[in-house]
Amino acid sequence: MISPAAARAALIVALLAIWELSIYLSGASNILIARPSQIAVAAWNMIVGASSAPDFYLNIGLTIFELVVAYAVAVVIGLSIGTVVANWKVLGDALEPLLLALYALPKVILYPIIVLTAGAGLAGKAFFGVLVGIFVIIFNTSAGLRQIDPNYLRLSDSLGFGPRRRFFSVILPAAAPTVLAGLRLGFGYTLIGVLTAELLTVNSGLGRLIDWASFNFYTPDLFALIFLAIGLGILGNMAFSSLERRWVR
Amino acid sequence: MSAASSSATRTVIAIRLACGVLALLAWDLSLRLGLIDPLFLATPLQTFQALPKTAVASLPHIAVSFLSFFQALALGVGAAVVVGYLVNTSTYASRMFMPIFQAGVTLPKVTLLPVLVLWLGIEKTTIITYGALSAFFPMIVNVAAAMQEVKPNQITLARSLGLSRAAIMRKAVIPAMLPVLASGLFYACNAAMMGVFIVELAVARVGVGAYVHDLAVTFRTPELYAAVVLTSLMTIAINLAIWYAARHLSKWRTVDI
Amino acid sequence: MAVIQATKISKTFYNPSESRAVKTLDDVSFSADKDEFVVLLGPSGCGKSTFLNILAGLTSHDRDGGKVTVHGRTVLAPQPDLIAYMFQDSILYPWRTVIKNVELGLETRAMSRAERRERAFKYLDLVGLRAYADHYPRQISGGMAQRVALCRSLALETEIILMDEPFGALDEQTRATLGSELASICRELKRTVVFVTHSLAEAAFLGDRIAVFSAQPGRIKIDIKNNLPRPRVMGSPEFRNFVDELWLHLQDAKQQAGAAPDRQGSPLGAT
Ligand SMILES: Nc1ncnc2c1ncn2[C@@H]1O[C@H](COP(=O)(O)OP(=O)(O)OP(=O)(O)O)[C@@H](O)[C@H]1O
Ligand SMILES: [Mg+2]
Repeated sequence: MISPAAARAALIVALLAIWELSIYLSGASNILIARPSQIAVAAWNMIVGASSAPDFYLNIGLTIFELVVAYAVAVVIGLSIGTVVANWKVLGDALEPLLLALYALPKVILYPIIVLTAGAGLAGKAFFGVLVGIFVIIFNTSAGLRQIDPNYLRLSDSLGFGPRRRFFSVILPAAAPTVLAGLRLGFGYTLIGVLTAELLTVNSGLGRLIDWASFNFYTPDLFALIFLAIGLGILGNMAFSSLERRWVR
Repeated sequence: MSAASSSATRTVIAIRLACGVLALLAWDLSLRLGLIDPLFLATPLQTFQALPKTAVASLPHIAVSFLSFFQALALGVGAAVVVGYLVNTSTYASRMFMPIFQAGVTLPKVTLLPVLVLWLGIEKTTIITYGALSAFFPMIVNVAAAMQEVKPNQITLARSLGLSRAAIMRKAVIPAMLPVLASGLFYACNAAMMGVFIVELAVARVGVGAYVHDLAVTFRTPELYAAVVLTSLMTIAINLAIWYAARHLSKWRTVDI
Repeated sequence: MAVIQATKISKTFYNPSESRAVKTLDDVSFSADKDEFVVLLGPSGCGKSTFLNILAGLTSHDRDGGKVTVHGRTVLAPQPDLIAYMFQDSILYPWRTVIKNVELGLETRAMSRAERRERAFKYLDLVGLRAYADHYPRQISGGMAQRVALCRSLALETEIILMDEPFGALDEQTRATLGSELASICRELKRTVVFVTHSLAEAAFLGDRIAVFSAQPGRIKIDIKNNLPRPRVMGSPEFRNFVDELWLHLQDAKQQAGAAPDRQGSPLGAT
C-alpha cells in the first residue's frame, strides 16, 4: 500500500501529464492555455533572462522585499497586540469585538483609500499586506497564551521560577504550537495581501509581471508567474511546517 | 459579584469608546495638520455629510455585489461540503487530499485572476467563480474538522436507541458538526466577500468594488469614504452575525462550570 | 423460560494492518430467564463488552451457526423497544442538556413532550440528579454522567436491560446505594438484566446468577447460581464466602488465559 503522500505526488504528476497531453492532442488555443512543458520553458527563459519580461529579477525582488517588510511588521505588531490582549483581560474583552469587526471586514474595499493616502508604492502595498496578514497572528497569539493550563503556571510559581524562567520553560512551550500556526497562516495571508495589492495597482513587482504577461497574451509566461507566486506560498508553508515540527513536540 | 462585574463592564465600554474616538481623531487630525493632501482624504464630517447621497447612489451597486457574493458563497460552500464529505469518508483519501486543500487556504489564488478573466471574460461568472474559489478552501478545511467531531460511539448509542438513519443525522451527526461548520461559514463568507470585491475592483464595471474604484480615480473623496464606510458596515454586520451565531451554536462546548 | 438466549456465539476480529484474525469469543452459549439478574464477570479484554454488543444487535457475530434470540425471535438489529443498553462509557451528547440526554431514547416513541419530561425526571430523581437537569454534560462529573446514562437506559422501561459496568466510575458508597436501588427497581419492575462488572461484591450482591468468562478466546468458564437469600447483607459470612468462591473462579479464568498465550491469534495468509 503506497502512502497517502506518495499517492498525492503521483496524482499531481498524473494531472500534469493529462494536462500536457490533452492540450497537445486537442490543439486548444495557445492563448487560452499553455502546456506544462511550455510553461517550464517560459519559466526557464525568464530565469536566464532570455524572455522579454520587464526587469524580471528587480520585480520579483521588489515583491519579496514588500513581503518581508509587511510580514516583519505584521509579526511584531501582531505578537505584541496578541500578548497584551491575552494578558490584560479587560482590554481583551474590550477589543475582541473591535478586532473581530476589523477581521470580518473584507479589507480590499479599503485598498482605494490606502492607495490615495499611502500611495501605490511600497508603503501602500506593504500596509495592505499587514492588514490582511496581521489578524490571524493576533488571534492565534492571544489564543495560544490564554489556553495555557493555569496548573502549569501555578506549578512554576510553586517551584519558585522567576519571570524569565517562567516565560521560557512554561509559557513559550505551551503557547508555541498555536502561535507558530498563527505565524504560518499569517505569512500566507500577508503574501495574499501583497500580491492582491500588486495586481490591483500593476505598476511594479510580480503584479506588474503578471499584468505584462496577461496583457500581451504570453500565456506560458503567465502560468509560469502564477506557479512562481504559488511556489512562494508553498515554500513559506514548508519552512514554517519544518519549524513547527522542530519546535513543537 | 455584580459590583465588580459592572465596573469591569464599564471599563470595557470606556475602552471601546476611547478606541472609536481615537480613531476618529487620528483620521481628522491627519488631515487638519496637513499630513495628507485633502484631495486624497475626506474628514469624518465630510464623509458623514456625503453619506445620504452616496447611500442612494451606491445601493444598486451594493445590491449587485451582494447578489454575486451570495451566489459565490453558495457555490463555494456547496462544493466544499460535497467534496469535503466525500474525501473525508475515507481516512486514506482524507490524508491524500486534505493537505492540498489546507495549503489552498493560504496560497495566493489572486494570481489566478488574469487567467479567469482570460477564460471567462470580464463577466459576472468571473466574479462568482473567483468568489466561490475563495470560499471553497476555508470551508472544506472546516468540513473535514467538523466530521472529526462526530464520534463513532455517539452513533452506536443512537443505533442502540433505535434511531433511524435520518434521525441519527438530525440528532447526532449534524449537532456535532454544526459549531465547526458555522465557524467555517464565517471564514468562507469573509473570503467570498473579499474575492468578489477584488474582482470588482480589478476589472468589473458593476458592483461596489467598481463603484468605489470609480470614485477613487475621479478623486470624489468624500463619496469614496462614504461608500467605503457604508460597505464596511454592511459586510461587518453580516460577518459578525454569522460569528455570533456560530458562537451561540457552540455554547455547549464552552460553558463554564 | 429464557427471554434472551445466545447459542454458540463466536466473534473474530480482523486486524487488517497485521493481517491477523483474533478470536475474541468462542462458542459462547448463554441465556437469561424472565426477571433474572445475570452478572458477567471476567478478566479485562475477555470480550464481555463485545458479547453485550452482540446481544444488543449492535455487532454482528461470526456466521457459523450461532444466533441470538429474544423471545424466540432472532436478533439482527437493535431492539430499542425490548432491550435497553447502557454502555461502558456514558456517551452523553455534549450539545444536549442532562434531561434532553435522558429523553433521547424516548423521542422515537409516541409520547407527548410532557410525558417524556415526566419520565425523565422520574429517573433523574431516582439517581439524585434532578437539580442538574439543565446542565450540559461538560458541567457534570464522570460519575454523574454515568448516572445520567443509567437514567437514559432505565427511562426506556424495556423488559431487558444490558449494562456494561454501569457503576464503574462511581465511589464505593454511591455504588452500593445505586446498586441496591437498581436491585429493587429490577425486582419491582420485573426486568431481565445482564450486568457486567469487575466488582465481586457487586456481582454477589446483585446477581441471581454469575457467568465467569475466561479470556483469549472468551468463553463462559462457569455459570454459578447465587443462592444467597435476599435481602443480602454485604458483610455477612455467607456473602464473604461466596465472594471468595467467585474470586477463585476468576483466578482460574485468568490463569487459563495466561497459560495459553499461543491461542491469542492465528496468522492469516496475507491478502
Ligand atoms: N472493533 C474491534 N476491532 C478489533 N478488536 C476489537 C474490537 N473491539 C474489541 N476488540 C478486541 O476484543 C477483545 C475484547 O474486547 P472487549 O471490549 O469486549 O473486552 P471486555 O471484556 O469488555 O474488557 P473490559 O473489562 O476491559 O471492558 C479485546 O482484546 C479487544 O482488543
Ligand atoms: Mg468492556
